[in-house]
Amino acid sequence: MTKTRIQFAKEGALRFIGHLDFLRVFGQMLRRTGLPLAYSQGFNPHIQLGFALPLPLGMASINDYADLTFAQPIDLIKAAAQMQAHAPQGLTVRRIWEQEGRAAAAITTAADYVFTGTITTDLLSKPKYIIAKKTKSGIKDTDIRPDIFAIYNEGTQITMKLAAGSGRFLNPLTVAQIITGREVTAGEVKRLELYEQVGEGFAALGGGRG
Amino acid sequence: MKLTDPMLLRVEKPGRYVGGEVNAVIKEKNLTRFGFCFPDTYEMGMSHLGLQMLYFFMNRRPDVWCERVFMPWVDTLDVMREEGVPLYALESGDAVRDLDILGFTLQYEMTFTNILVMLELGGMAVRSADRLESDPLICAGGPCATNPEPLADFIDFFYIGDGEATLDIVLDAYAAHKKNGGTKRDFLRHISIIDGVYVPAFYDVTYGADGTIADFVPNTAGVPARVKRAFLPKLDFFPDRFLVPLIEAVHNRVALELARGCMRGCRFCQAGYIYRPLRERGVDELVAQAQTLLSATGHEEISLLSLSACDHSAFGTLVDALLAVTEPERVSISLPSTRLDAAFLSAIEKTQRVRKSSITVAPEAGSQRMRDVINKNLTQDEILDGCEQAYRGGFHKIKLYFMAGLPFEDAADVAAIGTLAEQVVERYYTLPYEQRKKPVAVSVSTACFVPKPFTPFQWAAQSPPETFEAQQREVKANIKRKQISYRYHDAKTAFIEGALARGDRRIGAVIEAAYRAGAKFDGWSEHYKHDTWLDAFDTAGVDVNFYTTRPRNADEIFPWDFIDLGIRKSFLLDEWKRAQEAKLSPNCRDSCAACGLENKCHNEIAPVVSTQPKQDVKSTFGFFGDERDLIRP
Repeated sequence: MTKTRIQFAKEGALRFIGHLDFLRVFGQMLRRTGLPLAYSQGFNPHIQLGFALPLPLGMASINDYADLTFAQPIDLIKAAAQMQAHAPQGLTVRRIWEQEGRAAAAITTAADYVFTGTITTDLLSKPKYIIAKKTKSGIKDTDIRPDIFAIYNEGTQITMKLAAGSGRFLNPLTVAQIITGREVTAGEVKRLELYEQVGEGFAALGGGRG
Repeated sequence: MKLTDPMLLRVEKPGRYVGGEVNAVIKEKNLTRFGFCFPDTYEMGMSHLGLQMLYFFMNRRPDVWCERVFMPWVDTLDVMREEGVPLYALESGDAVRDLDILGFTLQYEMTFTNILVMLELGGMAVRSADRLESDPLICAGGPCATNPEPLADFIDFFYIGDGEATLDIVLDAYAAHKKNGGTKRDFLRHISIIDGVYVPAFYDVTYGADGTIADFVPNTAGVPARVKRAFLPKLDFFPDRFLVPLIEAVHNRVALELARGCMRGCRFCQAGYIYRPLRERGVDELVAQAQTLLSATGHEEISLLSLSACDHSAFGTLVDALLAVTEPERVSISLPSTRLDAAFLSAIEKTQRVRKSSITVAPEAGSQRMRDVINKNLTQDEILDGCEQAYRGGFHKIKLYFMAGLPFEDAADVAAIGTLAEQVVERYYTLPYEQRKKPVAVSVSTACFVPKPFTPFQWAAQSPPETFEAQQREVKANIKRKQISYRYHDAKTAFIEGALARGDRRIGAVIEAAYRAGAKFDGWSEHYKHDTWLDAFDTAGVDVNFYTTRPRNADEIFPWDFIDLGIRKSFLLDEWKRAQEAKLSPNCRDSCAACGLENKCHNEIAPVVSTQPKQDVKSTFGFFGDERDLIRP
């Protein structure tokens, strides 16, 4: 068994398919490669594949991650090329490496989002920002400020680093609307990078500091 | 103009409208541009083997680019109308109006209004006579094209029969037409002599005093008096790849066409006649196709398609050979509804990877007399013994499919549906207590019988909705045991389906009136509006009962009689008479009934190969899932 992590991008038409559909499409791509995939045990075996974080419908993702287990050690550089050769339009396989330890989905804590706009509200300067947030137990007033790690702009390009993961998650479209004062649709936003927490800081799942 | 990002984000399942699927074909725009139009949702169309086959059949030609066009779902239809987005082809994103030929597939009568909606959304007039020379040619094929007359006003030409047979000749003719110039009419005259091609504008119909057809004659020199279907004696083409949908379709799997045609001759079944004779593919060919398609798609399931899969003369060998390919790849094999016989029981045992609790059986009729009327060739003992084997194999839920409103049916036959269901339940309690781990559940469902062209029942009077509804109440009243549940199909939809199925050219005005009143997705119960259709009949001045409940005389000229499928009308009439006497007819392998196609039937008349004698079979029968309901929700 070889546990690996795949770094990929999901863009174009693929933005309009949901998480479960993408899981199936990704799995079909893997099956087309003929690579020695590891399957789960049981009556209905499935590929051992898991994504770091679901993506909202319509949003592109530039550096995204999935965990995949192979049945035996293989040449991962060749495997990445084979995956790319069988990838649907809009899916770019950037890199695969061996990765032990916790699943990408378990460690992801933050994401960078980028879109074009003008900042009209300086959220970072506020110590608190309460919004009515939909939760399982109805609508609840929530302070979103702790889930905002950074917001900065270069000209009209706005980048936001927000809490994202199975634990805390802040909807980027909500924040984008607050800071620009207009409705921002998922199609305008790109998810740039995913991070795990390392000490006080963040490290991109693909390596490197963020 | 295609749907933009913000528009896509306003609709349900935007993945239906974006294209970009694996194996989609992109070509140059200067070729013959063909739009394969499926008048239902993306998920239905992408699950249709005919689309996959014709898409790659046409795209194998370097001079043709075939693209796909689906009916947008109602939410998207509204967005497209509001925003002025014309219907577009998925591959290029070009408006369908910029294509050369649009070909609609006619799988079900209740999709006819969708065709008119798609023409309108494409920016064209719905009637052929009102369309411009610059508009694409509109054609249609598929099983419902065997009676093309209800759509005669809207379709420039029909293609009847096997696509692989003469479609290339039509496309060659189009290429020459494009090069040489000329009017649409010139082109239509050229192709009107090709087998399978029917140009309605070249024929006139006259009606007698009783409203039936008096005469059907060509009005244009050189066109044939009868239209011969396109016939492929030996199945040769199969694609080496399938389009793989990005969103979940009805079926996400590789489909293998085991055979075309059926040897059984069930008298209600249109497919059993219009695809005659039985033409099988060989085991080696099918196994090679399975391997090629699995590696081209990444699918995890193979479905064996055929009107009666286990009638394939090497069915057992085929299943074993496929398992050798699929098991190491963790691919499952699914079997469609088929007959209860040893070959099938054995196959289900071998292919069953996940233990399912439920199976489906289709006795079609409750009484033995009715099963003989419809030539089902299935005895009560076979049904009950089969169910018992299913119980022993661990199944505890059984779905039973029936049809109500069959010809020569009486109250006793309807009552027999409930009785048979009770007997199926009782069989469970003949099992020893320790084998009855879970409570038995039998679900009964009745469809409303719709007489179809080119079947022995084409002479039958269809029951009105009230009769069906009374029967449904009767079946319900007759079911006493709490282990049995009962579902039934909508009688009103079946009534209109019947009028369209056996309609003539006068039905065109009804379809148009219904469409103008907003009818669409009539096959979807949540969108079907019966009153709209009844009003449409009134508006068009057409009596719906003339097409449905009226008994037909033996010598009546039917609207579809001019189409020559090769089957003799006298053979169908003979079968109709045998039905009246509840006389069974043998299947094609046991004895040739000389239906008219005997010279085209090249199958060895050989006994069905079964891998094991029946008494040795330990498991069960049926098929996984409620496939019919998925096909026609």
